[in-house]
Amino acid sequence: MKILAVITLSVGLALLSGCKSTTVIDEYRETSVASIIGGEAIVVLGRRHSSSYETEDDFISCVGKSLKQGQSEINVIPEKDFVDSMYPYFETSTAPMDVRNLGKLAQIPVIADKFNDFNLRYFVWIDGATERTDSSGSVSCAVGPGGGGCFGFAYWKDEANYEASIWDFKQLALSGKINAETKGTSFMPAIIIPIPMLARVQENACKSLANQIKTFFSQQPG
Amino acid sequence: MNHRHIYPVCLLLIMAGCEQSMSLRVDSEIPTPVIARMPVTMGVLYRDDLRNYVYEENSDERPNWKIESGSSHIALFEQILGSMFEETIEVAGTTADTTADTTVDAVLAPSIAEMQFALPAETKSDFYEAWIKYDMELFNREGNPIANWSVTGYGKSSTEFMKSRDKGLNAAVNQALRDAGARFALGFHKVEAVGAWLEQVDSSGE
Repeated sequence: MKILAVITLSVGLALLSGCKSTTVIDEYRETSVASIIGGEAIVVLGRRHSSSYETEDDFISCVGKSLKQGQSEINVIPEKDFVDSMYPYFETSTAPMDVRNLGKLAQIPVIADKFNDFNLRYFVWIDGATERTDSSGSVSCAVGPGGGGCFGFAYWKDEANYEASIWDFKQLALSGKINAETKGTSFMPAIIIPIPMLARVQENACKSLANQIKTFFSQQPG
Repeated sequence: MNHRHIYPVCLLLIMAGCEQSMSLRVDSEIPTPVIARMPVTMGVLYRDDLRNYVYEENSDERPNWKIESGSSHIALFEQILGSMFEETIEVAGTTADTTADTTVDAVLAPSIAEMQFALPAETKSDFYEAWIKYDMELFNREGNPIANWSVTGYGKSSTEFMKSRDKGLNAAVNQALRDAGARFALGFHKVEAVGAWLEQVDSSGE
């Protein structure tokens, strides 16, 4: 039993160093100035018009929460609150696909009033998803009258690719785009009990994207 | 617990997991629309086939499927129409002739043309999907037809860990209802015959 524990620990430690994820961030600025003046708010929204994938609700909520945290705290309107209060203009099939259409929408008095109520300055549209690109191995578990246990080894690779388009509502212009690409491999060795070692690809993509959005608003290009 | 009881319980749990039949009552949530009200008193005719709409299928792939959504369709139209028009009045009747009502400017009669569903296993995707197609009929106060058109709605809901099939389908139907409501509200005046009628109402009111 002691040997098994040592083997499990060794395999675990060896794999722990491998189950990391890497993130690549690309930023493109359209305007030189992108800043939030006290009291102004932003809304982070997911694009869900693709038939093959859907920007996850929990990813959008993770980015929103991350933007609210830290020193450069940003006033973020929760996606559901915003979309519900703007119904029917921000549904998947009716939401503006470009800044020009947002401008047209803002000419409708009831919509303009709502935007003013929110003190809305920036729209952050996020498009993308986390996908499993590869998986292999297997873990088998069995239960008998004398007890149970699992044995085996499995791994899987996840890839997250998200693009955030930042629209300045005051200028009615595209401020910039940020792309976050995260890749990672998770492992699950099982010797009696399965030990999942997760790469947390989506979570890392969320944190990286949120940090870059914060930098986008706080730093001016040199 | 006696070991003799463990195996039947396990067997029942496994069988429940593989159960393909379904009995679902759709629970919808439609927000209040932010749209400018039209200066129209609209009569609304909810026929029994809409009010009691049940999707039923009994095939090898979908044995004993029963999805009740009547109350969700009524709730959708009550929410949308109540925000679109100055006043809405529910009228009784079943056919165009019986919709005649002089207290309203027109009578709208929605009905369901089709509802479709897809499960992740069927489409090899990560989504539960739902489609709704409504047939909309608009009659004048004498009961004569002004316009008829179709409104469609599509919704999908992703498969998530521990999300049941019923929850997934309910979320997809709710999305489809929201979508249909949005398309109806924003597309109403764009239907050619409806646009012409609205202009008529506008000019007669001046």
